[in-house]
Amino acid sequence: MRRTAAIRLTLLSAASLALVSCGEDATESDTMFAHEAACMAAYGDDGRRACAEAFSSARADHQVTAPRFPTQSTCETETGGSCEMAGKPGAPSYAIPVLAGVLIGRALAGGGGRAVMPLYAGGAPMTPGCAPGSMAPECRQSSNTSSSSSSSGGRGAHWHYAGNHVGSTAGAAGDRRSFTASPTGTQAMTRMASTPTVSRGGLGAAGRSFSSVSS
Amino acid sequence: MIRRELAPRADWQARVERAGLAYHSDGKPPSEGGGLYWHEGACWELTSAEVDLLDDATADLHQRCLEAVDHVVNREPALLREAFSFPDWFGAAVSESWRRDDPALMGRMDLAFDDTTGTVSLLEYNADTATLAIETAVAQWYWLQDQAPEADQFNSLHEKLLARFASLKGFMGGSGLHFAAYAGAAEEWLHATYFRDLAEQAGIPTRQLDLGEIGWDGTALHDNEGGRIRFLHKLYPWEWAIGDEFGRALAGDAAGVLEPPWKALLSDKAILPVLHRLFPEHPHILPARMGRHGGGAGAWVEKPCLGREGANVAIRRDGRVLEESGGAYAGEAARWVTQATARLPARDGWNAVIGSWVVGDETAGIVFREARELIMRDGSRVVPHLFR
Repeated sequence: MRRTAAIRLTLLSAASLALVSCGEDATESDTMFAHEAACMAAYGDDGRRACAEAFSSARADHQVTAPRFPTQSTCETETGGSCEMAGKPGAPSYAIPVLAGVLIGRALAGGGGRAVMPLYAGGAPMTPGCAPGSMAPECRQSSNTSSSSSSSGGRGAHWHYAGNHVGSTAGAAGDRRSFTASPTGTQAMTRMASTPTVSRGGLGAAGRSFSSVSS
Repeated sequence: MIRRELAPRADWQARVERAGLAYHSDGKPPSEGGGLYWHEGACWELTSAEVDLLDDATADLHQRCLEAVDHVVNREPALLREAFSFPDWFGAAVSESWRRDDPALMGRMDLAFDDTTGTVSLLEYNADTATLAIETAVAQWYWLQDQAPEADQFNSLHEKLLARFASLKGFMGGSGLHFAAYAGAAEEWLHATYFRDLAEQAGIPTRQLDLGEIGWDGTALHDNEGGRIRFLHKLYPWEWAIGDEFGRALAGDAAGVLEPPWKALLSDKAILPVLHRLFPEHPHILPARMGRHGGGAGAWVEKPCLGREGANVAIRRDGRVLEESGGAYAGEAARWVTQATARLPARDGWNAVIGSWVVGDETAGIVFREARELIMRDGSRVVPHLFR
């Protein structure tokens, strides 16, 4: 036999389905799902595998991409939500927010591709439009001055964030909600280590005048 | 080799979408005879002897291509500037990358298979940013399971890629691999996602980002979450990267890149005259030379060294243009090659070009494209195959 014996796909089918499943709810805003059952209820049998894969992909991404904070209390202050310690097994060295679900669907601002992302619950951002703990100058100052007055779970737990995006879900309820990303949510998420000045946009320019990269 | 017309699976759209092919119709509704990119209303059926021939030719051509790269780097480095027009710093990066034996992932050769004479000819080698991987490895594989599970297919692409990523993991010292592509281009973004899926299954931590999100601080490449990029898969050709602000950064030592810089020699059609000069009597290598042929005698194809998707190609016989295509690759700075014509297999008015995959240094299967024309374009059909 000269063909592949078996194929298993996880990220690809979820990404592909997200691109084509432009249902009524997927065009205007992203949709967040608190658990797999809510996702399957929304997409039906066809979405069963994609939902499982979306959650599995988000759980894996969560371990790698969740914003990191030096301590659990800093994390809970900055996010306004619950946090847990993470790091090497047996030697947790930083805190990350607890995974609250996945964000699925619409093209995310800036990136253009539809995405599946880990979703976190928390309080209102300390500065409007700033993802929790953002290191962007306009976000950092406010965060520093107000951090002492915040407490875990405060500021009303009706905000969610994913990647660089912050969204208000106040007034909404249920396991499946729409998520409208902040139009200004483009700041880089905070990391523990400060990075040197990084410039971006230095790749991709030459190809933009052509229709195709591939061959 | 025969071409069969057959009924598409009733729910083929949903099936190929689940297989990762969200761009099967390029936004157009399926219609008779066109407007469709993935086309399973036909398939090409080969004999196992024909598969052996294609397999052997691909393996042999890949070795000849590696010899041609070695020739340019070690014996005739003046070609880096004169034939390939590399800036000196990139020529040095290409040479260094080859001498260091930087590992590569994959490439796809486009072959003309004249089954009336059993002749296989190399048209070009997409060695840097080959797509059609989802169509080959996944979509036509599932098609075979559904339509002809008793038959076989020359298609181990998925398996070979998985094994290759597992092997590349050994070079990476536990680091992750970033995948960069244009996030707004479905075909490219999904290909990056597919490769990322395979890398994750091979145990490599991955992240995917838009090309424009890549950061550079003067010594290191960064992703969009503040992490270092130590290994990068880019679905973006070297010839464009070297014109970008971060081109030098990408070609330097800050990160290991797939495909590595030496692949830029193979994806540039200036390699075709080098191959012909080194292996003039080779059964799979067509006569080729630099420049345009114009009105001279004989049957020739003129193509830009860095054209894509069949753009700006002209087929001439005794000076008369038989067929030509437009495109964006014929600017003043364009370099050209002239290659002898090769006969494509034709059935029912459909001409076919065979894409033949190489993963690492191993052959990995084929995919068919077909068109009414002789020049395959970006919208030309992708058609499944089988063999018995």
